[in-house]
Formats: sequence, C-alpha cells, structure tokens
Amino acid sequence: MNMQAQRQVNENLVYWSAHTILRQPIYSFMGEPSPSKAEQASLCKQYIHAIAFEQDKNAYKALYIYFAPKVKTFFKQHASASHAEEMTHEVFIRVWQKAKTYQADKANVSTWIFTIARNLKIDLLRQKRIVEVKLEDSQSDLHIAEDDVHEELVSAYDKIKLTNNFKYLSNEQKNVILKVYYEDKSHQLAAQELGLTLGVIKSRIRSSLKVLRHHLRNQSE
Amino acid sequence: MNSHIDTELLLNYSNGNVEPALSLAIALHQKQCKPCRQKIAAIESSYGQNLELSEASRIENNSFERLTADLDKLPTSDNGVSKTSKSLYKKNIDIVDFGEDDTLSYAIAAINRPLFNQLSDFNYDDFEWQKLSSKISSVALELYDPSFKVNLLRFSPHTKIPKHTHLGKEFTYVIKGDFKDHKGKHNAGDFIACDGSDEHKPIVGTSGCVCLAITDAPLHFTGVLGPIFNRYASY
Ligand SMILES: [Zn+2]
Repeated sequence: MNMQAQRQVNENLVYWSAHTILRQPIYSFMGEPSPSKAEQASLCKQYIHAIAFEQDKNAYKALYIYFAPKVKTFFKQHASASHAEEMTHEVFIRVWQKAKTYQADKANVSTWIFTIARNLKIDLLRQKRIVEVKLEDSQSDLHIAEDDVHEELVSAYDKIKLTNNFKYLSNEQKNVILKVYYEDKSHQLAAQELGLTLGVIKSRIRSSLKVLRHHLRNQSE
Repeated sequence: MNSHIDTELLLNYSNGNVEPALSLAIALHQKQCKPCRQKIAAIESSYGQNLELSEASRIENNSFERLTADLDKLPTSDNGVSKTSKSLYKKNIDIVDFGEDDTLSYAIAAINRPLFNQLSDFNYDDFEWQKLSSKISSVALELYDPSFKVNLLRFSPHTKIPKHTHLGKEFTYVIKGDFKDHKGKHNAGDFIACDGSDEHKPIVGTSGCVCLAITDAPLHFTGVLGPIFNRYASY
C-alpha cells in the first residue's frame, strides 16, 4: 500500500471511530467482514442523508472515497484522464448541492450518482462532441490506474457480490450489452476486447435485447 | 402500431447516448408513460450497479481537499443547500440549475431543460410559428443536433396532412391532440417511429394536433400539394 492509500485509509478509519451516529466503518481493512450489498446501499443512503441535513463533510468524504474512483472510470470512457478528474469533481459538487433532492425510496445512491454523472456526460458531449474517441493519454493512464490506491479500495469490496440488475442475461450476454451500451464501444471494438467475432457480438446483442425486451415489459406490467 | 420506445433506444437514452432531438422526445414521452418510465428506471438502476461494480481509477492527490475548498465557495441558501453558481464552473460546460425536483432523471442536456419544460407545459404559443398552409404551421427548433432536424408542427382540426414519404428515419411525439394514419390512432403522449418505407397521409383529429417531428432527412411530400410543401417545409 502506498502512502496515498494509507493516508486515505487512515483518515477514513479515524473518521469512523470518531463519528457519533454512524459507527460502522465503510471499509473493512482490518479483517472484519465486508458489508453486504444491502448494508452498503443502506450506508450510502445514510451518507446522503447526513450530507443533506447536517452538511456532514465526513459522510461526504466516505461517499467520495467509495464512488469517485468509479465515477472517474465512467468519464474515462469519453474523456482524457485529467478531464475525467474534472468531471468527477463536478459530479461531487452536485452531490453536495443536490443531496436534499435525493429520494431514498425511489433509487439507490449508485443509481442517483450514475444519473448525475450521465447528465454531466450529456452536457460534455454536447459541448465537446466527443462521441467515442478517448484522448491520447487515456492509454498510458490505464497503467497508472492500476496503482495500489484503488486496489485497496476495490479489494475491500471483492467479497461483496453485488449482483447486477441484468440478472436475466447470461454473463456472456451481459458483458456484450455493457460493452456496447454502457461503455459506448462500437460492435467492432467490443468484439476485439471480448475476443469474439463480430458475428457473435451481433447475435449476442440480438438475443440479449430479446431477453431484455421481454423482461422489462413484464416488469412494467 | 408502436407508441412506446424500443428497449434498445432506452438502453442508449439512459446512458446519454441518444442525439439531443430524440432525447427530448423520449424525455417528453416517458414523463407521460409509466411503462417506459419504469423501464428507464430499471436500466438506470442496472447502470448504477455497474458503476458501483466498475474498476476504480486513481484519483489525484488532494482532489478531495480541492473539492471541499470549492464547496466553501458555493453560496448557500438559508436551507443549507447551495444554489448553482455559474462562476464556480470555469469549465466550458453549461450549467443550468436543475431546480429542486427530481429532474436529474431526464437524460437531456441541461441547456434543453427550458425547452422541455415549455413543451411539457404546452407553453409554445409565443414561438415564431411559420404558416405552411392555412391549416399547418411549424417552428424549427434549434437543438444543435448533429443528426436530426426538429420541428414543432401544429395542425388545425381535421387537417389532412399531405401524403408524404420519409426518406430517412422519422420520430414523432404527439404533444397535444391526435391524428390517425394507416397504423391507427396516435394520441397525445405517443411516440411513433417511422422508417423510410412508410408512405402515409395522416388525418388530424377533432381538436387539432401539435407534435414534435424529428427527421434525419427532409420529409418528402408526394401528393398534389407536394411541391409547395417541399419548398416551404424548412426541414
Ligand atoms: Zn411508453
């Protein structure tokens, strides 16, 4: 663990031991059991509540440490690393500003943060017309991204088996759907990255959409 | 007849990957349509989970300190929630205050929110309507859309819309009133996708009709009045 990661961990633990309302640490670096998916979701909701009604910077920081590295990854699909950093910054400005508008009964915090990031992305795309190209430096940044800072953050969550909502898709189908619709990859690029032929990609998209159309329709009825 | 939005389009819309004009129509439709709204919510929830599961990128040193320093610069209102400060966002991103409702859920550009609000409130009488005929008028909306032209069209009751074909894709969102064509009756709130092979001559209902017409190629009127409409339709 490098200094940065150690510092983040330490600060985090200091916060959680000192805080009076939410005693449970968000991360379990010391061998305690990881929070379950439901516990994690509920913790995040408590953070938002604390941000909204107590302007609690500590809760804000906990949320930041958990989500910011992932939000940055989201923006790196469309922008350079430095731009992705700025966009992440903007997302968390809004998290602070809009915390009171979050409706805990309607959506998970991850969904809410996703929509904030997504809307900023729309504004970014509108301004910049960056449709699919990553800028040059995103390649080299990928290596830095493997830095142990996030490895620590991620490994703490390895045991949380969050099941994706696309549960009615096979893993193969899900991978293709997320590459194409979430990561905005072309069919060609998705084929390369998944080591599949273009034909297989196209047929998996067709079959996945069939499943999704069916499932989502049933869900709405 | 399909008056809802296809799942594939919703998958793209929910991730912000649909052109501005089409996004606007989808946003308007889902506001009126519970099934589509629920589908979008399910997709957004999946994307949210995927965000939570995704790889972490390294965040720069001191980024949190920089963030809190910026928060301190935000003017705060009396309820402790900051109002948007334009000056803070030196980046070239348009910042429009989303207001206090849950409007974050609309996957449209912030800059298009005012137009969205006007259209969903039927507040378009002050637009600069151009008369195409005694019964049809139109406003071209500028959304800086790279792919689509967007026109607001208003038809008097019982108007027979000249026979036309769609050279490319056309999407229609019915804002008010209704019309019918060979596919059936289309009511306020319906979202209709047409492709290049459709030739139709819709007939407007008893209370007239206002709709948003989104086309990636000019409408081509084929009937007797065709040449006139083709000249004046500013698609
Ligand atoms: Zn619908």
